[in-house]
Amino acid sequence: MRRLVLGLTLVVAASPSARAQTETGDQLRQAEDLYERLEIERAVPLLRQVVATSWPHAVTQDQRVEAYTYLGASLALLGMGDSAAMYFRSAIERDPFTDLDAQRFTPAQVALFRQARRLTFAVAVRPVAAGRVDPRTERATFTVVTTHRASLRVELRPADEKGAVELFHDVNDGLREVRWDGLLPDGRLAPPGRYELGVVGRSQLLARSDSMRVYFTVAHETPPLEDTLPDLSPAQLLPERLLVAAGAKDLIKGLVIAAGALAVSSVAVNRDLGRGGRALAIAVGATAGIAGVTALLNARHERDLPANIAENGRRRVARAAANASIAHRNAEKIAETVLIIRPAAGVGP
Amino acid sequence: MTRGDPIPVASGILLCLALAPAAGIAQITVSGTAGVSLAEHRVDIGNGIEESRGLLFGAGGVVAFRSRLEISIGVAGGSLSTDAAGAENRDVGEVGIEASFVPVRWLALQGSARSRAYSTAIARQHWTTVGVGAEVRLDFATSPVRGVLRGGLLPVVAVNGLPGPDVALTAAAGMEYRSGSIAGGLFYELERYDFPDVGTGRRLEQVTKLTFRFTVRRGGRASRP
Repeated sequence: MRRLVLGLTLVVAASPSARAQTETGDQLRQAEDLYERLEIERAVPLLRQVVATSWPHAVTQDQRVEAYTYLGASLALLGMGDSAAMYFRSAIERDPFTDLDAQRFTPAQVALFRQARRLTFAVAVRPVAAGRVDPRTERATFTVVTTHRASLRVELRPADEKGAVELFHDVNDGLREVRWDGLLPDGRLAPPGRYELGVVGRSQLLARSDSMRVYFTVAHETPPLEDTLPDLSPAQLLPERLLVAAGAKDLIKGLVIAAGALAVSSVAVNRDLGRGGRALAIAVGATAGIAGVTALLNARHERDLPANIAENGRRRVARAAANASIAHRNAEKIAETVLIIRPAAGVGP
Repeated sequence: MTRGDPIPVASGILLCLALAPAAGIAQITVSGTAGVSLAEHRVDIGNGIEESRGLLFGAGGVVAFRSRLEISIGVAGGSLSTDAAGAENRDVGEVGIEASFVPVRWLALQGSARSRAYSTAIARQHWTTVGVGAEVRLDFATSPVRGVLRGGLLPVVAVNGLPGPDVALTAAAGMEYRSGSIAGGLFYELERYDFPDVGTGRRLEQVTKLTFRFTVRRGGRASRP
């Protein structure tokens, strides 16, 4: 136990930022408790301290938005509508996704908040959530918001390409989920890489525009693909032209085989056992010799070998067919590709 | 093989191979082979040469992977007749397996194992051999003909009732003609066994064969012209 306490002490001591945020969180919780007990006059000073520039502790964006929201709600209950709207606007400007739960706040508070939304224009997109999307059956979903009625365009573009996918372009008011099928405008599956999701809005109530960008990465999860067959090497193709020299070489090969047959029947046999099937060897030797001589005579004149040309063509066609089949199977596997989407660093107006 | 007539057995195997659908998987070649051999068997156990002859029928299958590795199995059988006084006709049956590695197109390094039985009316003798060897393949450029020279040693020869031989080797030479997926070949083959003298004289044994072999190939083509 002492070790645990010591460890916690060290962690807290080593992290002043975390401790400062805890101070802010404690202050907010205290103010919210007072608000819930309707001790509004006591809650407001605590909330004002948090948003004041003199507040000595770190305040996260979410904490600041929470403080502004409760300040607005508190002042609305105190009948200070203008001030309440101003704080609501501060909250909305910092986080356009901010909203008041109609179940928890009074209609007057909600009305003031809606008024603040109409007076403030901002667009936003939630950070992209990590996920796994099968483009055949699923869609990636992005959440965007406009604080009030506005013309909204949501675009997605690869970070290193110009082509953009327009996911939404229409009038929008409030929260909207935009879906993406994982394809680029030309129908290709989005290649792996870094992507930018941009939202641009123009208010229909105010002469104002706003934009925001977030980034995410796309990776592919594809079953292993088959390699296509390599080009046919010369050794895999038949000679397409008969050369005189080839006939002489074939004669030599035939004579080598003939000599080999005779050598086996004379050298390798056991002479103590007599002839050793010499007649059988002579039959094979004669066949080999005849084949060699025939080859020589056959190659007296250089000429094309149509049969070999046709056979080479058949082999090329067979290879092409095999590669086409492999390509087809690979295409089917690629069609099964799953997109792995992860949020990436970077955010901008 | 037993003492029964081996021809129906070999014929049955040949028929099965002929009717079996060949597997034509990319980069894999499957071949079925049938052959008939005119065999001449000579043995001298100190009482003079005893010669017998006959036809052996064989069948087998070969699977070649990417033209680099070939696995073949085969069976053969037949009868050897003799006119020698006091000698008996014999039935021969054998089964074998062989693996060949083809590092280059013209050379195959081989390892094999085979079991053979000689049967007479009163006795049966089993031979088990394990061999290593090499085969040189000479492809003709002008025609679909291949010449073959083969040599090998049999470091393991186990024969019941006999000691291991001092000399055990095989050799062969032949020609093969191919047309499309069909090939026919004529081969001269030799097996030689010189057994040591164990007091009753040396036993010398030799088998020579003239084999006509017929092959049907399916699947990828061999990479020879």
